Amino acid sequence: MEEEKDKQGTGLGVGALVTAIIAFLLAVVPCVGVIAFLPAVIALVLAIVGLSRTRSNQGVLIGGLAVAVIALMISVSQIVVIGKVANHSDNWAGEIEKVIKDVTSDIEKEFGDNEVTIRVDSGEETVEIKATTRKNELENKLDELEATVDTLKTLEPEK
Amino acid sequence: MSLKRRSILSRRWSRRSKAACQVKRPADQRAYFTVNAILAGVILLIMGYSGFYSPDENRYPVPCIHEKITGEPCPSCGLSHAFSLIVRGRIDEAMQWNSASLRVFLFFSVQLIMRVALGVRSMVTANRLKKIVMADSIISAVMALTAFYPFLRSLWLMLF
Repeated sequence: MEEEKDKQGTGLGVGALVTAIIAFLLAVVPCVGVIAFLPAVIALVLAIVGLSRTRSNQGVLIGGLAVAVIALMISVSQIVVIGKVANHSDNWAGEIEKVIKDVTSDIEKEFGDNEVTIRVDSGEETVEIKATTRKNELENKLDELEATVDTLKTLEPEK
Repeated sequence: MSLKRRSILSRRWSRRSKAACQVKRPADQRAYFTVNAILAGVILLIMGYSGFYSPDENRYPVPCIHEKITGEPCPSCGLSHAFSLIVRGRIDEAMQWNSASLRVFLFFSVQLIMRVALGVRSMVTANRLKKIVMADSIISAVMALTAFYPFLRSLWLMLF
């Protein structure tokens, strides 16, 4: 009877230790660290059950328990990190949007309704580009361009 | 020697050799052997996985859970790819995929040798088993911390 219990304890100890070591190896790799939570819990349960059943051969069980606790802690911290990064990712998107809006409003304030002229001199040739930042004029130009595209489409011969 | 005497001797010898084969090893010794055997098997599986999947085809079945959840690559991304390259002797390329890959691969390689050697030893004799197990645990823990240090460091930096 005693021998039977010892055998059970050894089996549980080996199971706990191996599962705990595998959990530890998984936990330290960030790619799969979250998965390690499950084997770590299994190893923990095996070690606790083994320790409660047998009084002999406790070295393997205690080893398994210690490694399982470490693996569980690392795995939980991986979960926390993932949560943190995920939260930050959401904020980053919001922050980028905010920065774009700020930059747009700054440009609008800087140029106001002024007209911008870009002049390029290259020897005898001179190129002058006139642009405006007036919203209404830009909208009118866009409408004109869209109308031109539509006309071109209608003029295109059907294949 | 008479035929009868010879048959008695041979029967005795066979009984003794059977008994020698069925030597009852202590539970600690059996447990240590089993742990070594299973861990050696796991490391061989990792090596086999790296050898089976080609780094040029990029069809690895294990996705990065971290990247799937957060959309950000993690410090261990590219490790499978790098392992496949190391197995094929393309170490420079492997270092480009993941700079920590070589130390992790070395850890697994040394562990495989240690598991096989210590497993065989524990089968043969149980002399100084406790001391060996203690030394093995400490050495392996230090090796693991050294090998996985870049990942643990990044985890620490992200936490605090």
